[in-house]
Amino acid sequence: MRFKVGFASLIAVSAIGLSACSGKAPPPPPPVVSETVATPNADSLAAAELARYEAAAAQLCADARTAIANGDYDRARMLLEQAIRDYPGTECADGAMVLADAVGAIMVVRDPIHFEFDRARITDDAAAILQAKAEILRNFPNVAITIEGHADERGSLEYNQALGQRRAESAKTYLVNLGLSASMFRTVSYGEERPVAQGANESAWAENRRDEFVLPNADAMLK
Amino acid sequence: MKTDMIKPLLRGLSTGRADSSLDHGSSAGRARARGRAALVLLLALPAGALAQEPGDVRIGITYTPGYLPGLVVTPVESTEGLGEVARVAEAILGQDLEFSDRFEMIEVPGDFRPGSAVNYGLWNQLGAVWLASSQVSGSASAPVLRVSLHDVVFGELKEVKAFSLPAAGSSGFRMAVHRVSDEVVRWATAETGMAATRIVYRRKSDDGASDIWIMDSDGENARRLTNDNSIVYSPDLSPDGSHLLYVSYVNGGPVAYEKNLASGAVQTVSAEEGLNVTPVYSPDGRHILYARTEGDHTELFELQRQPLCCGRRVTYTSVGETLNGGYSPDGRQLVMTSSPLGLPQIYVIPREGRGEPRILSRYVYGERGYATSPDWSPRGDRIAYQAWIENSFQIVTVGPDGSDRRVLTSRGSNEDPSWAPDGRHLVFSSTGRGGSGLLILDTVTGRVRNLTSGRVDQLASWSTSL
Repeated sequence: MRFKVGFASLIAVSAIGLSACSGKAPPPPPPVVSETVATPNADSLAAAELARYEAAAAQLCADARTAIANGDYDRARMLLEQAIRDYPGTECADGAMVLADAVGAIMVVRDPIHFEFDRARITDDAAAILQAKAEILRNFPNVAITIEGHADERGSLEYNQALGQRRAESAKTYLVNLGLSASMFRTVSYGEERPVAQGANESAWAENRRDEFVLPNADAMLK
Repeated sequence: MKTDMIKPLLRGLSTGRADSSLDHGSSAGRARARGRAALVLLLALPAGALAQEPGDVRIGITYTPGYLPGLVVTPVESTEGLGEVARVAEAILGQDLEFSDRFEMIEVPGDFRPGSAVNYGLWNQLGAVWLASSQVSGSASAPVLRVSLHDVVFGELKEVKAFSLPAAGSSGFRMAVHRVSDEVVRWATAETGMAATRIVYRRKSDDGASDIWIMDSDGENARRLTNDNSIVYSPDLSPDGSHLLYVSYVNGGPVAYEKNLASGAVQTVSAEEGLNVTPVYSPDGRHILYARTEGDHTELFELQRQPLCCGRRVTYTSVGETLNGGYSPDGRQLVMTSSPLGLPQIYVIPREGRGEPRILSRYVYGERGYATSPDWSPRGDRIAYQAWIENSFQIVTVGPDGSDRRVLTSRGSNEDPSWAPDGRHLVFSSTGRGGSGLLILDTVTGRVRNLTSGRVDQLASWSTSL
């Protein structure tokens, strides 16, 4: 099952910004115990607990940011969902909704499509994936996307370069026909040079016959 | 000249061999020990009877057992202080002549002593048709190799020549001796050998990055020519050996470059958006043919060299990919991979004008019609390519008119053939059956030797005679 994007909410809230979690580091926790007090009272215990709660949430948001920076969107989404679930009411959790939607949108845009042997035709499955991308990308006309075409290991090395290029061009043409600007896309073929699955069997080959969608500046979709 | 044509008939009685079947394990040393073979039954058969069946040979490739004249290379003599030079030259000469695959190498008997006169009768009894004797004189810094080729059957000196060599141990020494070997081949066969050549190829390292390498045709002097540590492929040496064309992703995408091998300077040949691949030099070195993205597919283009200019679109495939362009030796026709019908096939077109493409590869029942990577023999008479046959790639050759198709290999997967300048040896990459690397196949005798092994070496391209 594919991750469904809270697409409407993304648009609605994206303008508000992500101030809660947009800082690079979590705010330092306030001092909780006065040196002059020998025994803690109830208020200071509660304050300390709250600070720990906020700090833990902030750490999740910071880790999610790091994961996003590293391109590990699966992990980012997991961390953000954890913040929403376990730390309701924190600054982090409040912003995490929007951020998780944005991460989900990036994941849809990055979702690879696959091809039949020695073909560059867009299959029905691939068409559905490309349509989902187009829905999102209409709202980000300034995002740059590199479409990488790949082939399985069968076939000649050089012909597979051409096949990979044609696969990248196929996806680009399909997206442009859905109304997106051609200037958003750059195509590059890696032929059979960068397999994602090892092995000389049909399942590995099928996985490797693909287009990957790379966002050199995914941050543009987080703002 | 007429007597030369009669001699082989006489010599036909002396030896014969029935080597067959492409096998990775076959190697260099075996031919040396071969003595005189028994009389051959071939003589009783009409000439064409053992010729290969065209087209459909796929299992257990066999080569016609042909006649190879016996050749003995006697130990290289030397004047004082040049023993080591003589030893090195002898090793190179002997190996080159064996690798030429044109002779049955006759071993020199252990009790052989160099003498002033060649004992033709003795060598004739041992099966020799030719005898090469040589002496090194001069100095280590300027050695002179004097080679004599004797016709043992007729008992006479056929050719003799003194070759000035660069200093022993210098970078040009081996290649200079290779040229001597090729001259000996020419004396004996009227055709030039292929020892004085190099092969460029693409080597992939364990981390998946690749670079272009070069080595001599005997496997010596292997060294890296590019240092991109990126995705690098499609090497081709200029006819004079001074420049290298290749494709590299060093700047992000597939861009065609040319490197001056003397200065190391690199210039961009084509960096259009999309692919810029399979660049090759024309036989006169004045043009570059390559494939690049045009719209949503790949077409062939031709550039002028020195200075680079004036790109000309060569093909108008419109549907399908066209790449792997190559020239006929006279430069008038082009061979290429193209897929207007869906799967790639081999086509020939006129270089100028929009003549009708002629398909060379063909559909065979039970084979998926997938053929790529053609190379036109420098002698013009054959085109080699790779075809998908029974779940692997095999090397196929065909006449330029599409006639006389022959499948040359049957085991493992064999790809990207490239002709030696002698028009009979092919280098190609081979995987499977427990090994991988570059192989050299003599298409006449079927002899095979490993050039590299245990490495991912691909896309070999053989130079002209250097």
